[in-house]
Amino acid sequence: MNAVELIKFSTCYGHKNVLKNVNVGFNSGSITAIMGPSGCGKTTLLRSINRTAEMEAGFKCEGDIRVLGQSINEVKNVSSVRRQVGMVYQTPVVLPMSIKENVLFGPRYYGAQGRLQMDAIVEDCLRKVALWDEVKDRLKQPASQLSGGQKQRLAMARVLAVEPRVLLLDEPCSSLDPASTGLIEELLMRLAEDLSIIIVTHNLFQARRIADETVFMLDGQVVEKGSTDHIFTSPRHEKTRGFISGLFG
Amino acid sequence: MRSRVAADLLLKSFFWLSGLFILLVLLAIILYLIWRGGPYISSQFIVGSPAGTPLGSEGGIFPAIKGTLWLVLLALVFSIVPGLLTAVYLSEYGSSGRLAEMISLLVQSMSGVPSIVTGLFVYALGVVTLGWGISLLAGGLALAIMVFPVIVVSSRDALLAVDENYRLVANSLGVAKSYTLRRVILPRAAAGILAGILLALGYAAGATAPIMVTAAAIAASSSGALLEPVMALPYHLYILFNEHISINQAYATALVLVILLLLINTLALWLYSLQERINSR
Amino acid sequence: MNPGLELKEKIISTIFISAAVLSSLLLLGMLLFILRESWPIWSQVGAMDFLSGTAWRPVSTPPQFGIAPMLISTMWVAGGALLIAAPLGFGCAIFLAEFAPAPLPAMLRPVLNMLTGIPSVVYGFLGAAVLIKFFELRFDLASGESLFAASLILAIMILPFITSNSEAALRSVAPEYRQAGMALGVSREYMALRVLVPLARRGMMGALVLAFGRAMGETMAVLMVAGNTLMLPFSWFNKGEPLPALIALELGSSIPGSIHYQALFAAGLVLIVMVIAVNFGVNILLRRLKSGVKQF
Repeated sequence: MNAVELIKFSTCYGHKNVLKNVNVGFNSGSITAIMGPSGCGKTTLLRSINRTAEMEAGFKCEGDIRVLGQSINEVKNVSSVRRQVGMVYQTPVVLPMSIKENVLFGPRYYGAQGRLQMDAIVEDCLRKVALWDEVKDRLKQPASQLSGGQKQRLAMARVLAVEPRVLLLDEPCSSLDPASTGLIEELLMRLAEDLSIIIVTHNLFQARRIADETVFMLDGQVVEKGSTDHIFTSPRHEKTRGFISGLFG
Repeated sequence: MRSRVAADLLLKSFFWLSGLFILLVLLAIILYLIWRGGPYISSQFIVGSPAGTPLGSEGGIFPAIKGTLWLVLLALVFSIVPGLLTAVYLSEYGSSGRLAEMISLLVQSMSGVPSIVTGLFVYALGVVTLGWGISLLAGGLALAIMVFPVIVVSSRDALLAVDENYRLVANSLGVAKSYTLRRVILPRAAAGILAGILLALGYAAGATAPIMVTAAAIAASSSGALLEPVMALPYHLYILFNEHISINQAYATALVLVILLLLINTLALWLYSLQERINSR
Repeated sequence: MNPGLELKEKIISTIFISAAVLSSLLLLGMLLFILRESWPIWSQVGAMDFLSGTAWRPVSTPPQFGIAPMLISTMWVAGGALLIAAPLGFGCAIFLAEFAPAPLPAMLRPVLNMLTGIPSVVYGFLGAAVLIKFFELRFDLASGESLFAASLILAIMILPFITSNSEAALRSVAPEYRQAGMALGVSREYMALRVLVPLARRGMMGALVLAFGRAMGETMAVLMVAGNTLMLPFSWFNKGEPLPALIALELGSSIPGSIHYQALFAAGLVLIVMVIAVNFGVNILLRRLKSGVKQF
């Protein structure tokens, strides 16, 4: 089953038509990469899935997006969509509080109580992102002291703490060094066992390393989708070929 | 070319002199007040009540200090909650909507209303129509209306200065705006908000026109009774001078008032710079 | 759990919206109230007569209410203050933005702040005790109070506002313009005057207009040095009674509900309308005037 499915989905900001009649599905339990030139609508696509795109002025959309079979526009409470669909942004953002409180930000809202339960959540999520050993002695210290790569992993732990089913990442490693990038890629491959992961990336090597499938977008439309190997070695469309060779060349 | 050089020199000197002029003005004011008023400030002056004939030519200004404190307290009590609520609306809930623009415009226009007109309004409403008479309550209300726009604008700016990324991240976790506000935005902007409140406090403490017509009296006990008139520092200064009661007491009162306000302003400035440092972390 | 949270959120946002709406209606409420209190003046005396009449005699029979002298005093005092403060304020702003060596701007900005923190009654007091006395002694006058003295005091009061706002406007000019100017080999002074000021003129004009509005509404400083006579002033050195002073001085002694009382409210309405018109004018001016500060 598709974890996320877009059906005849279009969006515009004011008069500008960003996504045009997009029809694409993302498999559950796997990693799908989205690639394409700047301005093709990748970020808007992600933000439409977790319904943060509508926060910008002039946003209108048509069509439907289903997450785990349920339409996200028909839900009464938008925050339940956002809880199910976690998002990690390009710039690592940590909330101005301690490492521990960063992780617990969502759980506290949703009613987690009791020190034992909360400590367990913190440890569990930090272990999942391979951050536990690095920070276990300084959980109460401000998260702003962490390095870029650590902050990004903390952002992921924070998202995992609200138990999403789908994870969206918008170029999560573009401001990180290779070592941190490697760590995060490893982590994503582990998480893919339980989550469905959609990652926007510019880095074709990254896509080849971790993505099972790749979607190529151009000008607000999905041009081609297929297994990553296939897309890179023998893409069907002219435009895809052009883009891939451009990346190489 | 020589006239160009001369013109340049003239301009440059003008710019420099204007800059130094401002510095000199402040120094002159403070030093002069210290020189003329300093000798008359004593502990008796601060804690004693007006005495002598005519009243106020000797003794102290304690009731005026008390009265000012009461007035400012009331002003803050009436204006902080509406002010903060409005500021939060403008920065978090309204954003770019038409309603928010209108409200913003109305509040900004309010800050241009002359304080005497605010006094006029509260005089008609409170003193006359509601029958409060010249009273602490009327004065507090007038001052509250006067400082309300200050609190709204400064708090809104402090809130808007908080990094947008925090809101974005919190939203994508599905938490409600009020939760993010309570746990992230407000604490982060607290220093700036407090600085704005302090400035409002100072503004209220020094205002004379609105309380002149609603609350102030030449002599009163300033015990905090809401429907009684109060003494206040700025009005006391005005009376001491205008009624030719005592020029020396006037200078001393002016000095006390200025010191009080400079302290408040310095504290507010320090809080603003603290906020800047917090925002850049 | 979720529905409960959502309802709570709806209640909270309703509270915020209501507070904002109610508070902003305060201004309208004030205007309407003052209009109502002053209505008999507008209907009986008429706006033209009220605004252009030169006699203010509330206790004569029949009482006469003309605020032309006060209107003229108000404009004269404020305009005069602007005349004195604008060049100084701009000069200081240019100094802070372009010429002041490193520690000075950081030092002078708190100074500006503190100047705005000094209450107007202290300015008025010092003006009366020092400046007026000086005029009386130096020029051998019976009374040194005048519109000019009031303009002087007001000028010092509005100077910090003009300077801060203008400096901000100057600083916001993109550095590329400075570099382009200097690269032509002109002096810093020349560049400041010919390049920066025109680019920042929107903000600087705005600063001036706001300062003008402030000067129009100031009560205490003018009360203590302008002289407070009800006669029409003919020169800057005459005495006068700007509108705020009129209201402050006569409100307490007027009988609530009497025509005198209503006339004071009418004066208040004129004052507030004038100031709001000035503020609105600023907004429109700032929107219309192309600042010319393009983004590179």
